[in-house]
Amino acid sequence: MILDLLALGTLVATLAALPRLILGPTAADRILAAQLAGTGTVATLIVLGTGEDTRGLFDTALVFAALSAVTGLAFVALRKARS
Amino acid sequence: MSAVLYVIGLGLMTCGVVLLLIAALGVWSLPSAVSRLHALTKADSAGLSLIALGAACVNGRLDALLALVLCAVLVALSGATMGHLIARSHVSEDEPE
Amino acid sequence: MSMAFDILLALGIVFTAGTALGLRDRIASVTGFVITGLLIALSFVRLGAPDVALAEAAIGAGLTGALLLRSALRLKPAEGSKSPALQRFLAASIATGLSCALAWAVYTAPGTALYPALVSEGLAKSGVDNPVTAVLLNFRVWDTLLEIVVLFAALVLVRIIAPAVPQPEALGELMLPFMRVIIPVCVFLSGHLLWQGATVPGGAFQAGAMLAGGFLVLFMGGLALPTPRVMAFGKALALAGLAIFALAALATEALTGTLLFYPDGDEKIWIIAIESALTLSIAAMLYLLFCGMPRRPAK
Repeated sequence: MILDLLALGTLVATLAALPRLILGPTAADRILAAQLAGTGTVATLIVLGTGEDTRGLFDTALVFAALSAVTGLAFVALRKARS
Repeated sequence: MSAVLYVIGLGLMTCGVVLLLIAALGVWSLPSAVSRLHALTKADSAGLSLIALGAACVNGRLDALLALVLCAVLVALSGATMGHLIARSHVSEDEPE
Repeated sequence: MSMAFDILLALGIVFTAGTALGLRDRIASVTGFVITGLLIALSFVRLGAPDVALAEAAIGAGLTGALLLRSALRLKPAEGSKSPALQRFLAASIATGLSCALAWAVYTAPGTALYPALVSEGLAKSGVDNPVTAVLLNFRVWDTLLEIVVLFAALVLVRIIAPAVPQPEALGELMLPFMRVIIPVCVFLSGHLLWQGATVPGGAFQAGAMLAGGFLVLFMGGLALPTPRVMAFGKALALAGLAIFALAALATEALTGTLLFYPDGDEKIWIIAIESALTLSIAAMLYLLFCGMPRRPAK
């Protein structure tokens, strides 16, 4: 029961990145919205993984964490890329 | 013993989720991009570490502990570094080219 | 209570997809696309398909986001005019019609699915315990071979178009220590996903995408720029995957008389061998797709 509430909480935190994505005046705002969504998704996976006995979800959370770092790096490194 | 651990784990996870929600609120309503980055890095380091620690307590198995600790450390490190990199890139775009 | 979670997730996916299509700024659109990918991966978890969730996270959210961003930044700003009203009306009606057809198909689908029973019958003899891996690399391995051919065809197209290599910005002194953390994690996770794909969610595609993520981090730190040597190595790896897979197919034909029918008792070895070659090859192909394979490589 509590775990359901916690999962809902992390999902709300993930979706709360959206207003910043839409409004954010600078590109940095949008990149940090993506980072917040990534962290929120990792948190949601961890909470979902403790609910049932699916330990595999913790590995999925690890993959998400590594890939959100890669995506964030791509956003920052390619910001002003010129040919 | 495992009942106590379960309760402690749930408590830690609740604290972590509350921190995450506060950070999300900060990202939504703080005035400038740099201050929002401050809020974001709190979510990554403090919020997720508490959630991962709580999940490890609730779950109680060793292999889960390993994956969760690695996850928490990875997110904390990458969150802090990404915060720095985003701020650096943001500040440098304000300078005239 | 989990109903509220699912409803919120579904609404979030639709809304985020809307932002990906509707926002004006290109970086915002690509970010919306990445967040949509993350939420869709969550929905796959809720639907009980962790392998697909892993693949979506690795390839859909992470790598495709980086690929789209790399290309989006090189396009000129979009023109301000909207497309004609008739075109928008046609697009809306096609989309609505497709959605209604899908909803009707899901609603009227028969209750019992045929496939899981067939798969669990054959699982014991397939050499692995994970039903997804069994399907991908044993029962329908021909389709997997053709998927690699499709990736290879994409690589050939990119070679023909030869887009310019993106020049990553210098990211400062913190980048090198960060790379020293991220890249070993990527390599380790890639090997972990490859090996455990036999029993729990994982497999060659997810492992290859993780490794490609590591290559991309190297590229963005300025350490794996597409010099001639790097390009030659990458192309060799990319070819090797397809070549090894094709050789394995021919070898199975020679050993058992049927194409891609593994010899009895040895299935696991064949599957692991093919998967390892595929992982390296997919990683190399994704790196080459990102870097663009210039005709005159960087110094």
